[in-house]
Amino acid sequence: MLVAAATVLPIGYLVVRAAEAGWASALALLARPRTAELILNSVLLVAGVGVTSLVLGVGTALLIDRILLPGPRVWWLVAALPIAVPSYVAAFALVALVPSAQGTLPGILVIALTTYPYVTLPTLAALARADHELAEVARSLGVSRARALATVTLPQVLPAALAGVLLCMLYALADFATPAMLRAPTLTVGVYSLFAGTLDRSAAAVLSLVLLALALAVVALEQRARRAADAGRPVAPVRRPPRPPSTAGATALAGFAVVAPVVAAVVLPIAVLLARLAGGSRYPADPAALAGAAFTTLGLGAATALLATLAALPIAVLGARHRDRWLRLVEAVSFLGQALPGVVVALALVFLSLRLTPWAYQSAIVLVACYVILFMPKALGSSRAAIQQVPTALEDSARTLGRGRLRTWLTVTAPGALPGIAAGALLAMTSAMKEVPATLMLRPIGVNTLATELWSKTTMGAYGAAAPAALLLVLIGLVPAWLLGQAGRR
Amino acid sequence: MPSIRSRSLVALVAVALTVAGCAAPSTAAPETSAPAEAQTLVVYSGRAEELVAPLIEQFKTASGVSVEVRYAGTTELAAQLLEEGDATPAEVFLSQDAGALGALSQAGRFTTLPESVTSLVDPKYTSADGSWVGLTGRARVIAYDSERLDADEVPGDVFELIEPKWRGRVAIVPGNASFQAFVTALRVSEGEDRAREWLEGLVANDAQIYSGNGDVLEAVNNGAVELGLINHYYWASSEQDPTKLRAQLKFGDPGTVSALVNATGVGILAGAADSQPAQAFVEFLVSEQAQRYFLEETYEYPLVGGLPGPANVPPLADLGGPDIDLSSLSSLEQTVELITSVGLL
Repeated sequence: MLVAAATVLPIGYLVVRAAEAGWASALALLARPRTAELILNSVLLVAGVGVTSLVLGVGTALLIDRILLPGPRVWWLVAALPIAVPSYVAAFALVALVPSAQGTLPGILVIALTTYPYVTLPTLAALARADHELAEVARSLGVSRARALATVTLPQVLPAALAGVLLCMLYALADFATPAMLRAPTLTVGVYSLFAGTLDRSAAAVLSLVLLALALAVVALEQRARRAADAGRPVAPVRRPPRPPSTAGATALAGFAVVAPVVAAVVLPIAVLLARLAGGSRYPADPAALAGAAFTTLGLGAATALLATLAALPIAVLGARHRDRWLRLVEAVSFLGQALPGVVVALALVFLSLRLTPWAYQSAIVLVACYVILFMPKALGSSRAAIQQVPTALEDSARTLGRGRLRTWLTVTAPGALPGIAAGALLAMTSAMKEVPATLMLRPIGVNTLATELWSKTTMGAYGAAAPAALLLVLIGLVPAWLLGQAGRR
Repeated sequence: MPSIRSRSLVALVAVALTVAGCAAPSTAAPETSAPAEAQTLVVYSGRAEELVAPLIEQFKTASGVSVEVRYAGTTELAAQLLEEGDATPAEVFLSQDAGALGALSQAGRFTTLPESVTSLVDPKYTSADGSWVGLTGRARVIAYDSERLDADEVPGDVFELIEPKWRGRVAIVPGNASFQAFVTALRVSEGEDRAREWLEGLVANDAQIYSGNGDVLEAVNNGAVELGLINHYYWASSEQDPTKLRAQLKFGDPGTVSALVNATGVGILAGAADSQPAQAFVEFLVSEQAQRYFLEETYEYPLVGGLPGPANVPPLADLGGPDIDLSSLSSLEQTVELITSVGLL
């Protein structure tokens, strides 16, 4: 409840600011053809990212689970790699390679490629715990393998996959740098340029509210889809039957299909950055400053992971086990933070922190609070799906054996759901490490993260000088990616 | 293997707690730095750290003042200063453009600078009321793809850009402060109708909209677009030798609005009206030492003293910038309204 309230605060701020605009000018702003164009672009981008990430994520998860495992555990890591790459770095690489790559389609490609692990990882985790005996039964009754997969296995993992898709879509809705760089003007770009051009916080707030409405629509859509998919939830513990061995050819093909998007999302940007680095720059990088920034980045990321998870858990527990309208609302509101542009949430926190907690203003505390509002949804989606997958029968038997509710949760539910909860924490961590606009506004004075180092170089057009920070950011991003792999293997 | 999981979790918690621990003391610093004779200064800088940090080091060494700087985008910082109001820890705002300074000035965020500082700069490049002072000049230019165009093919008059010949070949940044300052200049010098005609002409001529001057330079330099309206400074301070870039510059016809020069500047926040270090810092910025630094390190036009122009570009006197006062913000609002109404924002 408190967490949802924290998300409501920035929204309240938006409403206050938007109200300053007055009805007439707000309506005039909304009635412009440009506003319609921005909304259309946002919808296209978000829908495209949703579909692409679903296909890429579930496809990758299935290939890994069905064909590549059991094999080297490295597949979990490979699947997680793309989230180490900030979407704006991938966008920069794409523009550097293909200058004509502009518009919504490249935007969809870049955002989907750098976010689809949000789908892959929870789906992999769900596949690992899915009731495969059901599928075996279906197959023994003469159902084809593909059909068994589609009708028995997929519905079981769909809630997890959809929670991931939701994250990708909300990310696409709130991302500024990628659509701006690829020249696909979305609502977020519109909010930003209105704000930047005029310092007019009211007009920007009005457009932000439209953005929120879109986000609510996306969340509602996901809730609906997830309810439809909820039927497949396991009621009893399952043991995994041995997998049929895969042929060498199938393994190679699957390996290629899994690796290709990772190459596009990770290897290509790194190659472009290295080429830029080799090109030299009159602005040298300072290794000590970079090392300090790397440490700060990791620390802020870890703090965010911890707090975002603690904040998400109560909602995740309730959301996984109960469904009522009130809860759905709390849940939906908690997801909104992710859809707000960072600069809007940051300004709201400047406003609120100066009034409520002036002693904490421009301290790491407010910065991390902002990260939690922005990225808690990542922890929430993953934790909820994980808890949902712990069979209720296990909890019930523990309860009938006389264990208290809390003890049951701690001894039965939590351990079972731990991989998913940890994965959520790490997703929040990688997001915080890549964040720029709110970090610039709320960081303690004089403190740099790798993302702000990167920002300060790229604003000068010094992409060669930016390369070391960008590379380091990707490398550090591999830490949570690696931990995600650890959380996933069992 | 639960041991691995729990170990990584323990590590995570440890790091997080360390951070929380480290963060606490550093937070107190800006607020407890109030004592009157403590020689400290808090600067918000909309100018890049790479460019101004060495200059601020010079000031620290010369004055003994300990300076803390918050770096971010000029617009974001201006918005943050408006949001912070009197509670701001900032004492000085270093801005990349006159528009943001004008907005803060109009909101009453600045104190008046001493005459001895403001009188050093040509009134064309500084505030009318002494609330901020211009530091450096940036010429509006057209960056062109030298592999596809010769310098004399590139228009020196921006009105040629709306002719059918340039259809789809021109990049602009309507959200950028310097583009908007240019439109303001157009309205002031050529009239509202002519300004609207130019903007509508750009829309009709399928001008390519970018979100930053750096992006435009990058696009011209890799051949994605042939012409781009930017400031000379992005090119001159390029991390590679600018004269060897594929993108080269065409300066506007002298004496016309196409040759506009924008200003960067600095102001002292109202709450720091009595701050000695803030005064000293602003005086330092208009000193010859700082002006020479801008000239040699950031390739901008010094606005104080008889210094020459930066390397590789024509001198300020030869640009023939139009006689337009950019410090009027009410005018900027109308500019943004105009740009918005033609659908470029």
